[in-house]
Amino acid sequence: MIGLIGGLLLAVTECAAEPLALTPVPLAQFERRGKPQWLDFPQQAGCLRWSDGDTALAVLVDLGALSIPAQINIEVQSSQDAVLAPDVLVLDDRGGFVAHHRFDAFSARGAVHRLTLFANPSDAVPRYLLLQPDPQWLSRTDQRVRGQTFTAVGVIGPAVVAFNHGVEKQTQVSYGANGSFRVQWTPYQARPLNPPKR
Amino acid sequence: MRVISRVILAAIVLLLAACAAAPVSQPFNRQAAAVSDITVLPMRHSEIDLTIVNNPGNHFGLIGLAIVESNRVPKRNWLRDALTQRDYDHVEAFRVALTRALEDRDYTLHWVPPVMESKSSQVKRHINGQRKRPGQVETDAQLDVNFGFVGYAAAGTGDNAPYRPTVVLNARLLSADGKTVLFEETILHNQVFGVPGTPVVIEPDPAYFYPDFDALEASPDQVAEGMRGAVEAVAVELARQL
Repeated sequence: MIGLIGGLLLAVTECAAEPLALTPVPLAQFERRGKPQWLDFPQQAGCLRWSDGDTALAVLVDLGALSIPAQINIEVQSSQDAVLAPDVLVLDDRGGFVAHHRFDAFSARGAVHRLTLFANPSDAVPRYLLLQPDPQWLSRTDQRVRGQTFTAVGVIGPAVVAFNHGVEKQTQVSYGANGSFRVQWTPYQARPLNPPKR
Repeated sequence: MRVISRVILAAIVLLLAACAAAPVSQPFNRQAAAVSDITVLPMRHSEIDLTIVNNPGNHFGLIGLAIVESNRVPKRNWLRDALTQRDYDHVEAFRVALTRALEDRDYTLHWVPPVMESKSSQVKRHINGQRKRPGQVETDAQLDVNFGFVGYAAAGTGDNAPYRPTVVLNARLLSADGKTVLFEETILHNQVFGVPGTPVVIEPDPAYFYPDFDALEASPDQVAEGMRGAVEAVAVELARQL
């Protein structure tokens, strides 16, 4: 149903003819009063029409002028049953291709999936990230298993005691175009290798 | 008196903070580090284990603990025997899988014998198995990788907490002189332990699911297959992170 509504919206919305024609989301929007902020993908997304005529919902993130080397983290938040599965295109300041990462490149980390990218002095300097739902993940579902601990407090005679009880929580998650995301960057501190004398 | 109570309170807080310290996650910047030859240091001694996380019996003092252990140990021993009878060695399986997965990514691994240290090894390590004083190696970098847990674990004692193949792996890539951390990660296969922070999580294969020990005992071949799959999965994931 959501896919159908999204398709209808795309059909009637004017689509950007190239990634840089989308309204960019500046990095500052992922932070409020020093705290990281999650943004809702469907709320931020615009319609993008590729040269082959295909349309997609996409978000353009403006990284600004990064100080290189830099570490860039792209995270998507898992809700109870849905995970945003983005495909990430890294673009330079003219919209030229720098790198492409499918959702397979993300790592599951508890409640988030994270992709870490590095911008090194030897690389083309990244300026924008274009996030679109990864079509290979759109209809996929996974079973997620987590151990959960419940603590019960009781009174035995004069003593107050706590008991831990563990259960397994299983959830079925579906990957798609809904969910929240955030992008953050930090300067990367070069790490000396101190190679052995040969 | 007030000062003493404050000191005690501070000590308790520090102690609890240490217990809850999250594992460090440092991604590897491969392009910035010209690493191709890696020495893999001998792993901390590890054995196949079986456990129930949050077993309520643990709350009944030494007697409760003794009852829990007297129930657990024979089951764990059965699991070890079942895997040994099927020629399964988790350390060798990990060595083979990690070597293959990293060679596919154009690394060359040099395993320092023995691949796993003896139980009586005197090497000083942190609680997660990582060496306190790594030495110098002749390759580009050194990998300190250790099992935190390997075996079967259940999240609780109830029917809704089945045994699944479970692995906790801690890995750290260090410079040749052991002074610089290039990469650090914890990888969990089946997230039943309350590991804080954001370790990498691999979901267990739903095919290997045993509601109780009787079910586990009835399928020893499958149990070995499940263990093999879990250890390979963490090796492949570690290679992917590098």
